Amino acid sequence: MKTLFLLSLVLRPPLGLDLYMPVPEANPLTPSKIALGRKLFNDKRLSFDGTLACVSCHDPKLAFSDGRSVARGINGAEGARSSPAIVNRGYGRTFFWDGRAKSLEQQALEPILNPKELGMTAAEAERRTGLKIAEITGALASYVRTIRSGDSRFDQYAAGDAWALSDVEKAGLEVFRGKARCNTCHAGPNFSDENFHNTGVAWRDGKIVDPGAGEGKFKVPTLREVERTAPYMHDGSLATLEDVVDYYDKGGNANPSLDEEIRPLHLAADEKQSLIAFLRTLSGKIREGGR
Amino acid sequence: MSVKEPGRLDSWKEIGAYLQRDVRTLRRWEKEEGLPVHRHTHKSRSSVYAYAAEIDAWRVSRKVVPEPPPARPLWKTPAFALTILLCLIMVGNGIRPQVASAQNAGAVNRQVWTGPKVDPSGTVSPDGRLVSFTDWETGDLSLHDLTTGQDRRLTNKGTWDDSQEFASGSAISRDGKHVAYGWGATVTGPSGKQPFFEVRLIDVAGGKPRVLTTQPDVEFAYVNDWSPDGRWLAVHLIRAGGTGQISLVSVTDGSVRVLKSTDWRGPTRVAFSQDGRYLAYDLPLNGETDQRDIYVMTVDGSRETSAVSHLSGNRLLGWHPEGKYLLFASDRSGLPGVWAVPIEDGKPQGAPELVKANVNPASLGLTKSGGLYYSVMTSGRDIYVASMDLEAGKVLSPSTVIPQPYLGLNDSPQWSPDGKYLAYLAQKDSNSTTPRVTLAIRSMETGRVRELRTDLAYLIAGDYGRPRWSPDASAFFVVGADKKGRRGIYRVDAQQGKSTPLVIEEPGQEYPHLMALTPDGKTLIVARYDAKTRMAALFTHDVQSARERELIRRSNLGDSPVSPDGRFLAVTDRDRQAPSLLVIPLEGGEPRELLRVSAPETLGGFVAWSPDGKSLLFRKFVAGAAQRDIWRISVEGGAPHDVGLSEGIGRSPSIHPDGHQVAFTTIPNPKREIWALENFLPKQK
Repeated sequence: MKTLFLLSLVLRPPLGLDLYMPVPEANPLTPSKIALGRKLFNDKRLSFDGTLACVSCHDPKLAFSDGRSVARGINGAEGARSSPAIVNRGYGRTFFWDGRAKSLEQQALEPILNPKELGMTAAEAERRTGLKIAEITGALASYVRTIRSGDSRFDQYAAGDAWALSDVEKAGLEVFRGKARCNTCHAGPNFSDENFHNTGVAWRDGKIVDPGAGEGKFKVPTLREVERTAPYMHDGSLATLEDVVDYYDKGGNANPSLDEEIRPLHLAADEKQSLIAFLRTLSGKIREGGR
Repeated sequence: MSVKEPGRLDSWKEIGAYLQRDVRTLRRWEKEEGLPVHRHTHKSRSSVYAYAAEIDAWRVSRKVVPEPPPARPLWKTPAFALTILLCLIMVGNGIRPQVASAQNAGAVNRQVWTGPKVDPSGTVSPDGRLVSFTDWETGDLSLHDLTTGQDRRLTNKGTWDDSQEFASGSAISRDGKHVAYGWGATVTGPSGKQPFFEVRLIDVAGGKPRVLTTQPDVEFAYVNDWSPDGRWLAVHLIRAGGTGQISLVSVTDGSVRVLKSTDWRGPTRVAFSQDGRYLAYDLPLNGETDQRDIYVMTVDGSRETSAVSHLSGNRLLGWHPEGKYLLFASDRSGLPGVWAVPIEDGKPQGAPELVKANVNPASLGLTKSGGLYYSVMTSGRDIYVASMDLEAGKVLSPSTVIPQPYLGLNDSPQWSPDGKYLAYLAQKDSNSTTPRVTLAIRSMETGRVRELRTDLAYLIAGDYGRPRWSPDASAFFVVGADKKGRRGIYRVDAQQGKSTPLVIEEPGQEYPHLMALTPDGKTLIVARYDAKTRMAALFTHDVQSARERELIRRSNLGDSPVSPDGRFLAVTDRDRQAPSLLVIPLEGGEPRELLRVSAPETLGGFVAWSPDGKSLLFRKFVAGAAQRDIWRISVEGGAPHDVGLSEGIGRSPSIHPDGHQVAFTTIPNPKREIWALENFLPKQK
């Protein structure tokens, strides 16, 4: 009973998020597992040379992103894509930019084994932690499910506080839903439809340089905490929110697989400014590990 | 362009051949066992037709659920007399009596409410005496007393002119003392339309409502159910951005708990289990399909279980009061019906069973004694075609209905450019909250109908959403919404149904209306209503470049057809004081007034060009009068000429290119009824 009470406290979502979060029956959330996952998330023993942990690329101060264009693993090895902000991933359906992992448990394993990230073997991870690899990934997935961002000023506005947004921010919300149609893909409480789109970012020099989920499509990232998760796009190629808005305003990079939703927006300067002002209202409170 | 409608059997002979029985047996089966046979009722000598799929499903239900043999001659039993009486009542209301499909032979299905105010947006009271509903005459929350037949308004907001607010989605509490409901409106502010919605509470006796919560970013709030302890409401919210939310609203303090976010379509119904531990709801499988599954979630949001999963349409009806069954509507047998799945601890315990075949209910909930109250549509909207001499004002042949294989809503007929086909919008599942509307294309030579299923979520019917043929008939221009819920004007490929967005609604504004298409197919005539100024404006919209040019701005505009040569637009300015008929050059220039009338005369919304483009047909009549003649006026000016035909042309008329046929619809509003299905679960369970 006490466990259930503690769990209900841990799982109470911040304002703006769903109460229901899908959790696999094979890996139910428990306070002890969440605590273990949090410990492992910060544990550098999970990297081959003991220099990195999950938190190295998913820094709580940066809304669980790393501020780099592309992820950096052991020995300074650089990956091809940026470290996504992993807030609210418990609501996700697929994981990684290309959606190749179907569960957080599966997702948690890959960076540990990737030679360009933590560079471990499963056996070595088990030896160092004294845990089965399924226990490690199960605990990490459980902890990641508790990393939730909400209670932003936008959430307060949506919950009935009409004064939580300024007039400029409200105008930006209208641009977001209207002329710019951002909510076509950045939909729902997590501002992502969890689908994959070609926005033209992977198109360079007349070819798709990273196929992503196929034909240059990448998963729509959350916009929660977007102010703190620069640089942007799957390859970190856009440094600021202004750059991102300009990129979409011009209609992305034209290519044969460009999503039909991506087209020139013709936003006026004040519309761009209000849109960015609105995006900044999506910074809220991040809860993790039941804290 | 069209193919023969698959599976249709067009006579007793064909039906008999399919079932390998003679006509006498078929007639007996139809009479005694509900063999699904349809009739062309418009013809003086009725002809019949049937569908193989319906007959197959009937055969299955007949085999699985045999009627128990009578213990004594039927005519001596009171039950038989009651059944006959009910059948007579049902036949009198256009409902074919259902006999063979109910698993419980003692099931009773009775009509409890019919009339123009029937509205399926509320629930039945636990004692089965009251039904809550929205009275759309004013938008007020109301109660219908099923025992006295009386309606009673609980709110009193005044007329629509007084206030645009309205009640939506109401539910009577389980102690029968209160009604919870959504209450909303769109307020017009400096930045356009801003929706707001409240969840309110009121005593069944009336009085001052209590506002539980005000949601400024919500477009609709539908209260679906009360928790058994009366502390929580199950509410479906639709956010301004298009996100649906299955939510709990506290009756105590109005706090909102969002259990699950969905796409804009959301659930058709949400219901608490009898012990208050679970919520059941239906949701579309994904963004690409309208098929729904049914789920059960713990009220704390900790677990969701799939209760009904099947490649068919499944809609929640409610929990049986004993708590052992979840009831849902499904067409999994090929025919719509009521199904029950046993549930224990929030999880399904076995396969669903058909408990009532051949009914397509939209649930109003269940009573304490287990009666399922539901609404059905009992009269649809049909397309008619009449031959007439528009010059002489004579009807050459009476209007005939375009026969339909289903009871549904058929609307917005439009002749093809060559006049060989008639396209119209057809909606079959009239009880669905996310209606699936298809484009029906009927060959006037063969009578065959091809249904074009578009990739859009829905199509909007009515005078502002008539499908327009492209000049080469390879595409249609329609008004609808895509799967993300964005309303606008789309071009739809006539073969594959793939859509391309052309003009999408802007937030804070009404969706764009498609008024006409130029004969070359290059320019749309688009109408927009400006919420800030409360004015309607017409624009030309270049299909290729999306460039627009405003043509006219008035408070109230009617039909706006383009002349056959594509040079002019005819418009009825329906100004209340002095309505007028205008012709606007599309190349640019000032509108030219052809006719202006003054009270008590007025103009209808209808205006059409004669096929030779030399005159306009329109309605002119005395306001409030039943006779609304068609008039003709030369585009060169002069006095109008009364053509007559007051009764000959119905709603949304489309004139054939030869000028001698008119297609139209007649019934403005379909008829709905509320029925009660009682004692329908298997007794042994």
